[in-house]
Amino acid sequence: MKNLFLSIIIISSYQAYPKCIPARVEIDLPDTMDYTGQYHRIHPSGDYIIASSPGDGRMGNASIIDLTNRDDSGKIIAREIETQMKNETYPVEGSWKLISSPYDGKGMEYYDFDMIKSKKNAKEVDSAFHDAEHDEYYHSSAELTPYNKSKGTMSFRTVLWKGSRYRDYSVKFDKDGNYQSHEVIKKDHRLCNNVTSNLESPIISKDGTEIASQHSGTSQVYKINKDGTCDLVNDLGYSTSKVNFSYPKPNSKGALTFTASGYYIDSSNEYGRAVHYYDRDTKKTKRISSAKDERPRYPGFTEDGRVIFIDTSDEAFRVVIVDPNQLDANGEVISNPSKCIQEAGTGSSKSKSTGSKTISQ
Amino acid sequence: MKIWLISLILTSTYSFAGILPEKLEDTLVCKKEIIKIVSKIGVKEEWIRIAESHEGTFIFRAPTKKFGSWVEIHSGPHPMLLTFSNKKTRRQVWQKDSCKVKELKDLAPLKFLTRKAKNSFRDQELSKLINSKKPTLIYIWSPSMIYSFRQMKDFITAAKETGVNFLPLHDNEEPIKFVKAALKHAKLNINTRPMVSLELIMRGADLHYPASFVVGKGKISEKIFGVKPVDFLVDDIKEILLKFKQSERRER
Repeated sequence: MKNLFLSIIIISSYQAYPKCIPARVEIDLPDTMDYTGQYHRIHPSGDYIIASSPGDGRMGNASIIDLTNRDDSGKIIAREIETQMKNETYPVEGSWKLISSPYDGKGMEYYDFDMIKSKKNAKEVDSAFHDAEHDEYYHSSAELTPYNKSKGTMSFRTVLWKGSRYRDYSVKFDKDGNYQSHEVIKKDHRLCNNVTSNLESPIISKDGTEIASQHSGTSQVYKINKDGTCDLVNDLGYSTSKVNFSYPKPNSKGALTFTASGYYIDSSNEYGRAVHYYDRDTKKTKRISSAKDERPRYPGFTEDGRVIFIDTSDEAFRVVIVDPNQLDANGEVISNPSKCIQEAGTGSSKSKSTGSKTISQ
Repeated sequence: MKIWLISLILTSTYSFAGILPEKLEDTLVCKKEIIKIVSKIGVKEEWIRIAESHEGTFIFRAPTKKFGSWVEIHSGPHPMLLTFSNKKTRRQVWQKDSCKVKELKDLAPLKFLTRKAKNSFRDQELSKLINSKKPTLIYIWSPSMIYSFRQMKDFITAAKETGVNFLPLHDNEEPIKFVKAALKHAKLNINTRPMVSLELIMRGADLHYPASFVVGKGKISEKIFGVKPVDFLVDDIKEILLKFKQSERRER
């Protein structure tokens, strides 16, 4: 009887146990475009990547790398979507309904990403709207109230580096999701003026309420107050590349990912930019790329917490997808991680991302 | 005797102060033994903290008295000291219990130093520039970061306005065809060279492009992060030059 109970408990536990996504997946990218010399931004699903400066022929432009197509064997066929977007194109973080692109001193263009995805020739897709007063380098944008298709509304914030200022917009769309109108609801508020006269390359959080910047030789995160003043939330204590914020989750401050110098002591004598993960709850940092990643660049979070980056070597290009929870500091898989991102449809916390399918292949 | 002992302790404490990064003063395993070796190597500037690779450890680095050589402390249960140079990487590890240092086999120089690069800019040349009377603005850019080549003209203008030389160097990890394409796109007719300097990499030149340094009069400035409008750059360079001058006066 005792054994029977034990068996039931074991089976029940087994059935309820959520299935973790693979700790690390590498997807070879076909040679259809040269991924070196690019600047990347990762879509919340992990299915699309913005590539600024895509190749010597389109230097200064931006393309989308589409990872949604599969061949008969299920292997991802990466496709380049050429667009009109230029320079350091940056998504309006959140749902990526809009993508912002500064256009050679003529203002900021906002493109509808759904339009870009749906058109056969995305180069024909003009911007949804334009703000002639906002044109600068090191801008970043994020949704303040997420795009709601049924209501046809969203609001977002764009931060500019020069003079550290931001502008908030409200946008209306029709029932099919087409842009209708926009309004500037807060014009050029000074940002973090109480901290510094100029933030070094500010990057906005996914919900537009925080900003990361380089200040006095270290990377810092500030909360943006309603009046534009800032409160220091995290000081990493060291310098990094531009950080990427994780998506907001209840009961957690989230995480940051970035590249920083890294030396792989246990393997090759390689020194280079490695991808790091900073847990904002524990304030601890660890490296999540592996020594075999030759040039890992521009990591970004997906909505379910994976970190994606493109690694390029002299021979090949690949997309690397990792679950930071399941990796040790050498990018090696931990055998019994205390937590992990779960496969869609398993366990209590379901992954919303279609990307989970990608990494289970 | 008691006073003599107290004096000795104070002197010892004073002589140790500043040898290690402040953050490691209370936590570093085998601290005494490590201090001994670090003192022998000789650290020239403040320690710079860099991103740790393992949870709960800290990494600090600093230039040594020998130009082109840097030392890095990795804290943890088995602390490690790495000494990087253009010729090799030396590794010393301490065992927690005995605090005996173990010399591991030297490694070849870091890979980025051995990567092929025609007409590269290395530490030897950097040393000459640092010791020259006329300061130089070293501008390190990458074709992967658009603004680093699109706004290079602003840095050229700022260098002219402040009377310093301008030296463009590029990220050696990117293919030369992209370097050429970027220059063509930015309509820049300049002679850029691959940056293969241990000194500059250790100062975070590869974290974000562009990264700029003003060098000359025996000094190297802190990094200028990213692009800025000309008037901001002119102010930055003037401030650095003023610091160089003040430091020169103090040294006299």
